[in-house]
Amino acid sequence: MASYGLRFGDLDWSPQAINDDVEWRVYGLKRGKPVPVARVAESMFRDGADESVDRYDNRDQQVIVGIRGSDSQVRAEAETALALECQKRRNELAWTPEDGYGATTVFEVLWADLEFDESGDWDLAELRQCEAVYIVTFRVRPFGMSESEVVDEALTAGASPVTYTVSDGSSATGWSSPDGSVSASGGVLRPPTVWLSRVGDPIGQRDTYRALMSSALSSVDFSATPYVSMDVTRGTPSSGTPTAVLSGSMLVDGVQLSLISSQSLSAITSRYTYRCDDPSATSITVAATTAVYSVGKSSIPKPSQSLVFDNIVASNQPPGASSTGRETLRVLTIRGSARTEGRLQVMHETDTLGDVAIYSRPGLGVGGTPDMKRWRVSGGTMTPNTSTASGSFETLTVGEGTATVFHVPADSLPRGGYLAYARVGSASGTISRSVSLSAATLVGSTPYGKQTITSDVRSLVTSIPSWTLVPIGELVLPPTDVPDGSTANVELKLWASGSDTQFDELLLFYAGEGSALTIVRAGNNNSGPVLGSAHNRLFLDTPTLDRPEHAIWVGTTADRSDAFFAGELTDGWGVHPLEAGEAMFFVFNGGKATNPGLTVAHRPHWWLNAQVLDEDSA
Amino acid sequence: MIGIRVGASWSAGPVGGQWLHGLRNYGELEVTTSLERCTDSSGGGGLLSMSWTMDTPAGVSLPPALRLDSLVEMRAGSVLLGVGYIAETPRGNSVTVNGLRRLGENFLAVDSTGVPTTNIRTAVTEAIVNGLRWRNPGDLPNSALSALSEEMVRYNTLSALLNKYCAITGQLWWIDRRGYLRIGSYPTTPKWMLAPSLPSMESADEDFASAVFVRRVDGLNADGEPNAWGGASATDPTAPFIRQTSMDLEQLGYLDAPTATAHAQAILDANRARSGFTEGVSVIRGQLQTLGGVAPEWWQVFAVDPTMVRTPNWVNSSGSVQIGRRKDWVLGGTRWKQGELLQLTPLGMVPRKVASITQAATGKPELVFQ
Repeated sequence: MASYGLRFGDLDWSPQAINDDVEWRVYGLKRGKPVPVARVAESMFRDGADESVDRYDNRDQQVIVGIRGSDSQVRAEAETALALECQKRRNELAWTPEDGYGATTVFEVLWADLEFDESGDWDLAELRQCEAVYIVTFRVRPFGMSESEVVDEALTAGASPVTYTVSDGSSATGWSSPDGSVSASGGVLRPPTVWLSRVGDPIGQRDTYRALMSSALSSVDFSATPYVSMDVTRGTPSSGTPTAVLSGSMLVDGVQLSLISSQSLSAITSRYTYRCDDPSATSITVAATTAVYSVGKSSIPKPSQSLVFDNIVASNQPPGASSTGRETLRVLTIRGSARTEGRLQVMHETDTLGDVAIYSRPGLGVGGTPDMKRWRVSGGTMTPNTSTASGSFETLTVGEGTATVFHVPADSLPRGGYLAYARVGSASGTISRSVSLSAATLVGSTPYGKQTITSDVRSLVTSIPSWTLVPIGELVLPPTDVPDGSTANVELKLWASGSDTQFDELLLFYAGEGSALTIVRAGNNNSGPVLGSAHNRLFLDTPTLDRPEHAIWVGTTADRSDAFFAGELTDGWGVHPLEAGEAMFFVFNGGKATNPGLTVAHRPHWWLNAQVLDEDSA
Repeated sequence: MIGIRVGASWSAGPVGGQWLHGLRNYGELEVTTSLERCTDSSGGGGLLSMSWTMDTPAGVSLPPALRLDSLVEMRAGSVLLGVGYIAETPRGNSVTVNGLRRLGENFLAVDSTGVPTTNIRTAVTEAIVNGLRWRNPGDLPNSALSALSEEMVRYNTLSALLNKYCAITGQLWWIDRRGYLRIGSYPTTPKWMLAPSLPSMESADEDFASAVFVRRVDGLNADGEPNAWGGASATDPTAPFIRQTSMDLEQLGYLDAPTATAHAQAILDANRARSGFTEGVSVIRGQLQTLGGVAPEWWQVFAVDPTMVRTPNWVNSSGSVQIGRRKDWVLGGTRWKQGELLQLTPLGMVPRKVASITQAATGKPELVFQ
């Protein structure tokens, strides 16, 4: 019969554990709870107070353990081992459930306190029964952890791009839908869009719609082109306020594919990319949902809405925000029932990374990504260039009147604080310039809530190949809020303090709760890595028992044998929290490397009992 | 999002340094900022102090980067939010940091030959040469403040010079998030707005006046010395209760009655504008927003650059809630501590143009300080 397991550091207190002369007996276990830390603000007009929990405090666990030994010397030795274990700066308490189904949960012990159990006031048990009983109190972090990590390996990129087009939207041949016939017109596939549900709120009604279609495939080998993407566009409803596309999903041979990236291409179009390794796929199904708000009672007629599909393409290039492979996108699923942290690695086998910005945030159900170049609507003459991150550069003008202009759908911007960066350089020689950015919500054509920020004056060298990532400052976006489903744009304007300032990319990082940004100057060398000045590997480590602080390393070898602590090369160093659920990653790199691999490992955190991870059972 | 870097060197801005969370785990971060109205004895704005507690076992020394006077930067990503220096050698696990603005008290206002100067550009340039870790924005005022010859002026600290200059011109000075010395006007448009559900800030009647009487010089003799005096006054007929105050404007020299009445009115206006706040407000996320309705992150709401906050309802001097009457006030201080509410305190008075006039009028053009 299986039995429970309890391990404290090097001491195994499980009933089935074999210890030499001494027998450990566990008489009781208290597992405690995470203590919420609430902030309270009184409200003048409402009953009660506004409270919010922004973190949890440590929990206390207790074990009553008896040491039974053949003689007092054996008991003293065991007590010594226990006392030493309690005095370790960091330790672990691991609990395994009794039936063999659940997984082991590990608690990080911050300190442990040892107390002789004298609850009977006067105690002669030790003398009579040769057993010493102790109460051990453990101060542990609030949440338990899985024993092992979930590792999301880097997406590999083929040396030269290969694509396989499932459908370019020109023909509906072979496509069918359980809801009716599929047609092709205007270069997109149009399955019937069906109404799913209606949810009411005090203002109005929210109707959800779905479109779904399938096609047979002739034994397609997706393993060579594993990144399958589709573009979903919503229509204009017959009435009411539309939302952006809410979600997409893709099934191959009946198996739901895992989402690796989502991106807003415009206010009405989203691109979803999935991972598929099926070597002989015979069917594909795509689906998407969207919603429409209508103001009125539940009896108002349902508006009609449509969803169309386009560009269902498999590629051997992982999803990115630009054509150059220097703006990598990734969506990951984080396990667990509590917030954890990510251990990250960015690497390229042969080419150096240059300036690297690693950004992470919770999914938030919003497809906005930090790259802003794709929202550019006017400015200077764009020159294609392979050393850029966005694919092209232009020369910024002096002054806001003739600035480069971007129109970003307000819907794609999570509300809150943002950090703004511009990648700029000099047309020739070294120049000193500042860069300014203004942001306003366009209501009709009237700007609202305008904010303007200006960077420090920076020395810029010749942009090709030495671009500089310049922090401009912080903003609150959208400048003026608009309701969900609004079609309003946020107008951004970018200009420089002097001429000859070349511009590659504008990055806006949402800086709200759960987001983090790390910026490292890993160095670039076009003929390959040089230890000490140009590196192709970057590691961000979470605290461990041996090294209780965070760490950041750069180097050139996969085994880290030549890595060194990169504190001096780090302009911004975030601790990347990962909320359970969907997490979005964006990696910008300025060096020669394209499509650098991002590996994310996380140790899921649990309220009390860890679940078995897929990796454990495999 | 927030990170702390310590031990950078300073050459026109922080260079190098190490991230605190790579050295030690730390917590209980507390950040205070303030912006003060300039008077003869006080003034200045920017980061005021920062402190945190570190995970350091007994017997383990603190990292060498954390020594007295080490530079400390607070950053979001790589965007600078404030710069300070370690003011207290860490004893135990707690570290205290002063904002760079305090360094103005450690440097004298002298020129390159060591002679006292009241020219702000000259004094700041020389102090930076002498090691002051501020940054010169290049647009500082370039005229002597004193009407007396510079040799007769005693040695003053740089802070005292800046306070006096701003007191006379009705401006503010502060060290911005990147370490630049800035001199500028009071803000006139609000950037933030409080939620209407927040309890209003209490106010007191100490600074309240329903009528202001001023004493003025009404005539001069042949030598320009005053030889006749008079009075003037301004009254607010709508005041909720009576409180009369007086001020002596003799130092302004000859004032005719209409001008003196205008001064009295200006002082009265300034006092009426003054709600005499006795406390600030504490907010959780969402209770403070931009006028565009978006909640900022706490570190975006620092009283570093002069900003205004709009309160949709407030308690007036007579204690009644002014429903439907908003009030804009200048953010005079912020305090944020991990796990606690963000605290905002107003600058004592909402400045208006007339207030600046009053301020300029009562500040003495000659420097007599220390």
